[in-house]
Amino acid sequence: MKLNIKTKLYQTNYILILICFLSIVTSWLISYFDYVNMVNNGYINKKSISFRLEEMNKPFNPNLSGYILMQYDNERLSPKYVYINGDVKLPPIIKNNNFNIDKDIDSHAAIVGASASIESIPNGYTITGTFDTSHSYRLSSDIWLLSRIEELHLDKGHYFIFTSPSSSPEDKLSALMNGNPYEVLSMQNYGTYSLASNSLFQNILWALYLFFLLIALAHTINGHRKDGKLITVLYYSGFSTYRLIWIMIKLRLFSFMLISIFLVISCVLLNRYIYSLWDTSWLLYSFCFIGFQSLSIIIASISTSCQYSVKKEGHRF
Amino acid sequence: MRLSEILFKQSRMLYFAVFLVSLLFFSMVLVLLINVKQANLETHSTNNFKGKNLYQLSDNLYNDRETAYFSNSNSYTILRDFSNQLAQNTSLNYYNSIWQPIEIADFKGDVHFDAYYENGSNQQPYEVKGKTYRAIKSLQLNAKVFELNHIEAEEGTLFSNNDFIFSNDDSSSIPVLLGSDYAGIYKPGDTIHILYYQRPYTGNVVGILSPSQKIITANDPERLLDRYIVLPSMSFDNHVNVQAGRIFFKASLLSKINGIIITDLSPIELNKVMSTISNETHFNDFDIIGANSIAIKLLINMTEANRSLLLITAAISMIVVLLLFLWIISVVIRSNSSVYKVFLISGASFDQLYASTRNQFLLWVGISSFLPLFPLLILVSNPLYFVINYLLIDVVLCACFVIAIHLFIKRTFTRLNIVQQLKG
Repeated sequence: MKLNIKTKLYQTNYILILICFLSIVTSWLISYFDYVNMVNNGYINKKSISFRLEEMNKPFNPNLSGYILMQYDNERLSPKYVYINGDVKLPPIIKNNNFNIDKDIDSHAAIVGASASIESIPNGYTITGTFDTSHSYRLSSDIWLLSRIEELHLDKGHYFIFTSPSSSPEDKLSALMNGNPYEVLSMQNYGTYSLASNSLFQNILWALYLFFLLIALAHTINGHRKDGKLITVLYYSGFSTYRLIWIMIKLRLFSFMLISIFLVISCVLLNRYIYSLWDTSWLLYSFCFIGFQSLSIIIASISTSCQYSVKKEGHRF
Repeated sequence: MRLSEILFKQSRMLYFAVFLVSLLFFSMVLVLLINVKQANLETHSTNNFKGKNLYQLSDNLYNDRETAYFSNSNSYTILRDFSNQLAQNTSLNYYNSIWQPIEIADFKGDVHFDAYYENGSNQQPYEVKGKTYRAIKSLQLNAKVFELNHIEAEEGTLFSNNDFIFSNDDSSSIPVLLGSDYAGIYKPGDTIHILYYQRPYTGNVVGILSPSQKIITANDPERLLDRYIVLPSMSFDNHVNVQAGRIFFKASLLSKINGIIITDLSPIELNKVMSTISNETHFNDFDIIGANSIAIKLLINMTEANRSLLLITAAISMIVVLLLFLWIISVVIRSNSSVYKVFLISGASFDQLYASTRNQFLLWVGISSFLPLFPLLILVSNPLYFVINYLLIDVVLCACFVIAIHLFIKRTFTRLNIVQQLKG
């Protein structure tokens, strides 16, 4: 028995898609603010680990990828020896000539800030880029000497900062250390991380995300309530409860999931090719939102189908 | 109003949902207001340095020159007068933050408060007269630093004006401020035994700072005060006998004359002012060098860019949330259309419908808009500014809702075709 009820149900879904899109944007903004803070702090994240290595018994694991390791002398923070491995987002850099990160790591390139003291660059390094930031005083006075992880030697400095976009940087660091004992230092965060207005605003963005989640949930519940009469009519016409649940899920959930996944994929493509962020935590939050909504649609479908079909005594004519 | 009562009873859940959403909405408005004020405060404090010329004062008394200078019996008095003149000259805005670790006896904090923790050259504690001393991070700040940076105390108070004057009578006690990392370790009213330039002092904790308080310094555009003990950089007036306690007075006076000058004066004008002071006090063993103002300019840019970003994002998110809220109101009104049909058939007019719906909404929205004020009054120390601005925004938003309700009900009313409804 085919039913032409699709039009009505699809109309209400647009609001849900809109709210889904808004929550994706909010998640992206949360990650964007974190990235801006990271740049302002000298490209050091809140999750970065600062540690001290007294002696190096074994070389570091050269096969690990997806991190930035900075090595510096304890007297001054600049210049830093920077080891980049894998596909990680770099800070904004104005490139001279042909800047290619892999080639430059091999050929001893240096990236400097606009107001860095260039005389402290050791011999053998050539400047291939400048940090393109007018807000980060820490990056502006910084010098990155790109090197390969195999060339790491403790006489360049005993102090390190490890930054990785992975969800648990501690595990990645232990894997990189390859058994060398290191002492973790507690680091303070500078730049916009230390501004109270910035951290308060991050909390507001989280509240906004929660707000969208609740509105979408309320909308789902309300929409399913309205379908109650339709379910009752269908039940009396002979559809079983299970069939009704399946119809509700098919009509409400599938279109939502299809369009929202399409939204997420287009956001991922935009992120990859137009403007990317440091990590993909915004993607995780977006999937959480879609997952939560899908679950709520399924539960609402089941409960309203049961409620409006079986009702008090489950009579059928 | 009987219409309102019936309206409410028909859709209790919906109005409750509107109440909750409205509560969330107005809480967000209030928090955004606080955020905007905070961002303005941050740019205001960096604006004290905006567009000003920064100069670093540096003395020339090293090694042999130092020994030669201090062999003169008047040397301390000259330095004292010179530093007092620097502080008193209003065109100079003499700003001094001295990074000098102090030794603390039986210190309760852990190792990250140590003076050289970040550098790794941590010094071992040593024992003197049965007490174990550790070198702890400390800053000595003059009154100008507090004036030009916005520094807040979470517990207790900041320094008073008298704290910046060295007092010979009570010379064994000194007020101290602790950074926010000390919360839970010490509290206001505690005493700490310190050695400040080898002179024993009893530090009285007068306050603990809020988290992430920072000051601008010559070496570091941002010096976060969380891990520091702050002492007042004291000035010596004419009655103090500086000859007693050589190391303390020598180190204090030398560190006092190595501050920065924040001024609108050009280098030539500054030279004139400094020569006048130099001639009056007979001290000229110093140089004026340009301070690192590029980093401070970038810091100012960063703070302003942060505020702009916050304002833009806040404005856009507020508009989006407002539109969503209006949509919720329209959904509630539409879902009540069956109740309106009954009212219309019973003889109610459009004005009565509109009035009863508007009153219902204003009641719930009004109550929920006042509720966020209670935590504000409890948590914030000076809430008057926020209360006034919030109430203004509240009135504007409620007017907006009233207009929206009018439009939505009119639209619902015109869509209802009474004759068609009566025919069934």
